Amino acid sequence: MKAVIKGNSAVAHGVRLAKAQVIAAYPITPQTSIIEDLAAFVAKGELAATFVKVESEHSALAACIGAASAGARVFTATSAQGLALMHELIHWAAGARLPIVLADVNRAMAPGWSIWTDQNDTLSQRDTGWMQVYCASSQEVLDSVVQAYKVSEKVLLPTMIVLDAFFLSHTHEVVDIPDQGVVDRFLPPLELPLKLDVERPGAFGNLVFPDRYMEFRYKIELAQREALEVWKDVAEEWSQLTGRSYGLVEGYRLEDADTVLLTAGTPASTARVAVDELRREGVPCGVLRLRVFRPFPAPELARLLAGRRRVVVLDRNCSYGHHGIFHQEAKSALYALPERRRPELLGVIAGLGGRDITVGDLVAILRKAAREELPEVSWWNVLQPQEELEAAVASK
Amino acid sequence: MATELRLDDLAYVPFSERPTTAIKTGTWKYVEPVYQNALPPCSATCPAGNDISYALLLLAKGQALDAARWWRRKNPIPATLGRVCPHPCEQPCNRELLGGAIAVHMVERFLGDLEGEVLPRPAAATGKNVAVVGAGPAGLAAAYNLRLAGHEVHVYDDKDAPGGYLRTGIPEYRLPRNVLDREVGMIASLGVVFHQRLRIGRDIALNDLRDQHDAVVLALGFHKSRALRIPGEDHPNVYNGVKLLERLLAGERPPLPHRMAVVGGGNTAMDVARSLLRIGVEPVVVYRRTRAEMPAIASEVEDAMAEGIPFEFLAAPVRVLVEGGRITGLECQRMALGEPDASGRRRPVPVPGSEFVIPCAGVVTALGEEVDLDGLPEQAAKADPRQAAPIPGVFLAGDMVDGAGTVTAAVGSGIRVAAVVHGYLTGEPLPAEAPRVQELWARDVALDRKVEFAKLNTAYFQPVPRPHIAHLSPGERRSNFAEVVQGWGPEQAILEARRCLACGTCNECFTCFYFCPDVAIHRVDGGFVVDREHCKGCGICVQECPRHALILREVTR
Repeated sequence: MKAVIKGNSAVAHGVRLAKAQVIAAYPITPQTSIIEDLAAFVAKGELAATFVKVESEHSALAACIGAASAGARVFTATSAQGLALMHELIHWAAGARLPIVLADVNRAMAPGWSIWTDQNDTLSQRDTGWMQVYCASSQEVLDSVVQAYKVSEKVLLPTMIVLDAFFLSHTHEVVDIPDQGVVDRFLPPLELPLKLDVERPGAFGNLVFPDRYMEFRYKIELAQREALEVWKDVAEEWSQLTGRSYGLVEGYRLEDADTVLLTAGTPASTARVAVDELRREGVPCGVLRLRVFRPFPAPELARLLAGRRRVVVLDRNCSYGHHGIFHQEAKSALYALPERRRPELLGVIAGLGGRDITVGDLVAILRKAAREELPEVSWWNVLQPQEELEAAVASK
Repeated sequence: MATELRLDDLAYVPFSERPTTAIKTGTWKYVEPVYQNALPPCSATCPAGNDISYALLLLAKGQALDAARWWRRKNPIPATLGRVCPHPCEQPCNRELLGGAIAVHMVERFLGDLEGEVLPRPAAATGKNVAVVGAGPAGLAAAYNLRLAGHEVHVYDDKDAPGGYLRTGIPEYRLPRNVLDREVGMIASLGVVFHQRLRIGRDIALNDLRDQHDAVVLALGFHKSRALRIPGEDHPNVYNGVKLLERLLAGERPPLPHRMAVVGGGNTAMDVARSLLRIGVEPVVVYRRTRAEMPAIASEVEDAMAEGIPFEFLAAPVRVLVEGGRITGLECQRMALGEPDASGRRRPVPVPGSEFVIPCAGVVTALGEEVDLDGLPEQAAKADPRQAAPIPGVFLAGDMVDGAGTVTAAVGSGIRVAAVVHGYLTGEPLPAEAPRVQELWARDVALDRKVEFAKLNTAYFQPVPRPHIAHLSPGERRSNFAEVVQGWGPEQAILEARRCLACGTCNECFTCFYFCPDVAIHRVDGGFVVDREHCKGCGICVQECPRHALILREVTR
């Protein structure tokens, strides 16, 4: 069934179709309408789930961990400060190998207070063992939620589905909502190998001495590596059921591009328009969108970016003191290439706190890059001393 | 590392089939939760110490007979008290802020009226023998509790039937006689022997009672009216309120003037005025202060006003006007309120030149009562803090100890004196003072822990309005002695019991059980226990307990 819905509703439909059994969440703008929709599904009997009202995000994830430990398919959603408040349990969920799916609507961290989008909230959870998927359309959001359960339950790691505040969460577009039968064929009921069971008392998450701890963490790493393949397999299976396919990364007009814009989230959609415009001017450029960020598809990036003249990484985030996070990550992926095949890597930080990234911005960035006028690292469209800008250009 | 173990031999997540109960996490704590019921504001305020919250808890579970028996554990006359008590317990009720105080008196009345196995059984006979003088509420309570303790009890009373002021001073529209008769009968059914129409000091001597019994409890009450001390007071149509009421309640209908001034602001004044109204006399209440200072039960004043009885406030009688042998009026002086006096009420001060006349043909005085010691030594009425007289083996209860008080206070005094006498009879050293009545209800309650509203976890409670209490309309009740306040059936009583917050009283709501993050609270028969070996002392159960029935205590090792 096709419907015009917003990104947050797409999340809720995905969760409904995945037949989550326990939902525990605490409202926060811009996530709220996700759990409002889910509460309505539960209230109307369209989703046979227990909706647990909690007093904080920490409790929300704790409730999910408890329910998941007992073998339930669970869901939670949050944003920004809420995700930060969950942080301790974010680690726990991954360490306990629970296939929890969490939707985070990317919102900038305070202060200054902001309800608008950027990626620092989720990227701050990068090293917790969770998988992360950055979406660019409502359709992708719905499909990714369903896929996430399949992948998580296969590799026993939690997944964060990430969507930009407002640009995606609150923007309506046409979404094909699959029939329940389709999803049921794709996603069988959850059967955890180990779960809380009154018939089989045991202790989970107990003290592990130095002679074993590393092995359990190594198993997380192995699961992440396995997940890289599982995401591909699951995407293929989904594609056969629905005709919609997603890769770990998504390329646009890459074929002969010598300048590639690498980014994640909705700016990648905007970038396609910018690329079309520049191509009409004869600038050979393309877009590479990072979709699955953890596990990190380093081989894909290296393969698709090898031999390009330059790659411009657009970060809607910053690791303060060391520039954009996707920039660093891309750099690490490209280092595997022989030096002659390594593109020049430029990093641009833009759009923090929900500042719009327009087609004009991206055309200007790519044009500057093509003209060798873009510094190695820069903040786009930010008030800064002119001499600093000139020095940055001169340094090239 | 030299080991045969392979990575695949390890589970994907740390898991042990040995439960963590082996780890005694309880050793980490420096505080621990303790189940300890606290004294709710209702019981703390009740002069008889009624264990209200526990009885309501039983009733809320549908155990009405158990609740009634619980109420009668110390209190012999709940059916009576549910009707006549001004229920001070309802004043501090924590439910007040969540829909209105619990109508404790209505539940007490329901439980009191309940028929069936509602009486506790007396303890085994002790071979001791006690005389109780006076069959009013204090004497009845003393007799009842001494009998329950296993003593033989004889009650000596100068009236025709037991009940004291309940019978001679409280009109039937407040307390139907069959209610009183039933409760007196229940006391007698336990083996208390009543000897009526015997007045101490006249028909029997205190020393004879002392000779014949192991202890004597004097509970004579206050029956002697104070005088007006104004000219004209000796006119035959100036009546003593207590005596007139006794005659009216006994069914006498003396020829009375059509319009009578009733002087006083206490319960006797209200009872006289409302009784006169019912037999066709036009009463007017004359009181020297204002409504706010009236010692009468507020609802009685309200009911009297609703019945159309006029009140003349701030008026002090100065003479009874008599012309040609007939009373023509009561001359009064207008008063103004001055500074508070010893009672805490504002003292009435005469306004010079303000004399005026209230036209009437008769006057009834209801100025308060005192003990009538006629024939008894003065020292027999001197109570020490343990309710003992300076005569060996003689103890006191009721008004003689506390001054003119409510029926409930008299019952409380009777309960306390019974405990003191029981100790005396069983050879225990006398305490420095009589125990607090709340102690004697003998449930495990921390009496020094109050449960203020702020100590409740009100997140668990929704506001529910106090239910309606039906009264006969003034038109229906002005000309007869039918009971004014209508009682409740079991459904209403149980609903009201469920409205009770059970302050300080564990009602096994399971909140602690569910909240304990360490599964260190276990269900046991009749409650919960803390697994001290595993409780880390986080205090969440104490924080969450809706009713403050748990405390945190420092752990001493």
